[in-house]
Amino acid sequence: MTTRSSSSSSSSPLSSSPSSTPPPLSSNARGKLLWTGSSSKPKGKRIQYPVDNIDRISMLPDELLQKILSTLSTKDAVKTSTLSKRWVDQWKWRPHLSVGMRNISRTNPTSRLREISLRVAESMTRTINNHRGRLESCTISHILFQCKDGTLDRWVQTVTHEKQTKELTLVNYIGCMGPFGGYNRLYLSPSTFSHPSLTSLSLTRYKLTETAFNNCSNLKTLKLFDIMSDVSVLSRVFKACSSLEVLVLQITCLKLGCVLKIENKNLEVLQVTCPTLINKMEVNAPRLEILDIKYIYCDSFLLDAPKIMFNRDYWFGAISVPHISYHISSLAQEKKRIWLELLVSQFYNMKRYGSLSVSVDVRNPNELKILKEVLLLWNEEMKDLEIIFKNNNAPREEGESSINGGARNKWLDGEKPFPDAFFRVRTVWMYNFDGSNEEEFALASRFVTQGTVIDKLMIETSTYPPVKQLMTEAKVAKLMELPKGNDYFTIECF
Amino acid sequence: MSSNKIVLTSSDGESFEVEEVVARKLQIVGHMLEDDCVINEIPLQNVTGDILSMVIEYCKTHVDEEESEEAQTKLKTWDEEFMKKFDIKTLLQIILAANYLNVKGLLDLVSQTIADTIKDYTPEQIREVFGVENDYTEEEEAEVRKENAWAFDEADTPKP
Repeated sequence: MTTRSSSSSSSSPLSSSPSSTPPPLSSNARGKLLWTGSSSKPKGKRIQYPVDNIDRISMLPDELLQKILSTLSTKDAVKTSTLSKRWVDQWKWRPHLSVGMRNISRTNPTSRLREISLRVAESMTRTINNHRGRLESCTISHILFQCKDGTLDRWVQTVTHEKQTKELTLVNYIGCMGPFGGYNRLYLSPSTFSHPSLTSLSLTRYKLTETAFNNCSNLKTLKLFDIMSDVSVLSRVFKACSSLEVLVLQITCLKLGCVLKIENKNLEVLQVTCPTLINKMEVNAPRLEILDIKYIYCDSFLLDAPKIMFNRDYWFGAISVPHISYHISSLAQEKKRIWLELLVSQFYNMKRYGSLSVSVDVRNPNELKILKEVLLLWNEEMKDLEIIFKNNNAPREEGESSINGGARNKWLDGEKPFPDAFFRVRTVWMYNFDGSNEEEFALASRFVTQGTVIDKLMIETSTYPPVKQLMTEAKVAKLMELPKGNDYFTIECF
Repeated sequence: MSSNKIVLTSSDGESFEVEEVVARKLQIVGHMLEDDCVINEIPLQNVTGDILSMVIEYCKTHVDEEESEEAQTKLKTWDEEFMKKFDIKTLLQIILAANYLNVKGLLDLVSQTIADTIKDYTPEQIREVFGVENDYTEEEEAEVRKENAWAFDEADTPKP
């Protein structure tokens, strides 16, 4: 074996031909130098691959190299460290870090998993320690051995306490394979998740323990997927996370006979999938805007959330239908995007099924836009759609009464189908429908003429005072006169 | 919006007359205009005429960022086609120009385009395509690989 003490490029057999190598740049000359010469090139002519032996990309200033690498996956970015010495540290400043052993059980025999995972874990530790600066988000995936031997705990301590990551995602890739027996306990030091920087936490495939969750008022988002836990442990975890705004639960409960309590005064979104029986569930969330029940199986459900409105039983009794209650309000764009993503994130084709209840002010273009986006999350036909019109009885100005005259709300203007030409729903239930409100009438008539409704369009009038009831029923009669997009559905008042 | 014209001059003396709204997409120009002097001609020292003309083409297309979905989709398609016109050398010049002129949208677009190219290649191929000169010794390169072995799928794929 030859010894190479020098690191000069000419000693490396892999370096490109030295004949036309440019002189090395001093660091402060980078960037500027690139411009010399390029102006003398005739316009319109291009140099084809391979480029002219000038390593232009390595001459980019650090901030641009890091910007380019920041859009790559961690894996692809880390690989660039082998390009040349110029690149060795560039990936280390990325704000998002994702390390793991995703394919390990697919590509290796079970008997060697332990040994191999220890080796991979060692290099993951080095990568995590080599990273510099703070983190915005961090994803770590592993298998059960890293739970037990304290490796996971060390990783999590590093990224939360040293790197102060804002988002943390932990994924255990081997949950309940035979030889290893059951789910894996999440062994972490006390108060691990209490660092003030950490606002979002996602855990997949663990048996939950509560010690790591002492005083987690820093957490705004908590997502628990494929989690095994006692109901009492869960209730205490939610209590410790007192500032939660978003809570996603996909759980298997181990010990019954307790009440699952979710009492969080800041909670805005709650998503629940729980296939095992819970005796009782209590939700007290005064600010809740989205309640997304994918599946629950419980004897009794107490809901105290004034903004959540629905009038039909969706998940009591033997048949549980996925159901969302969505109180639509004009949201910040970013929040809206996160919420919409959340509603489809667990579906492989990113489309939903089941039923929906919305409360919406259709005169507000932003709310109507959100309604459109929510309806379009459905792939197959929707079962029931409840629309609870929000009662904003602001006086309308003169001259705005004609249905076709409203230029304010472009989503219901013109002949464009709403939400689109393909959306279908079995039964639509409208509550608080005011036929004299032109947008509400326009929405209802869209559903009639487009063939959106398959079985029934039901409009509640029985709770109205007599005069309003008469007037609304007159408007419903007008709806009945419209040319139907689908001949076989009925319009009724109830 | 005023239809005031502004002349941008490149390092090699080429001049481009553009609407003020277009020129303001170059934040470096925007800042100069905010310093309230009445300027009609702005010299841009670090960018050549051929590259500046590409930047201006981008800014003209993106001058009014409409919110509607159709407009967004149209712009996205245009961006893709626009990027296809350039070889790597030109892309690298555009990214420097976008950085210097502070055109955020273009900077993001070119970064993404270069990143997408990197993503598809092995380190050896990246060296070839971008002309990156390897100054590692064999031992050094092996050491760097070992340091981040998990990323190279070396440790978690079976040995033949």
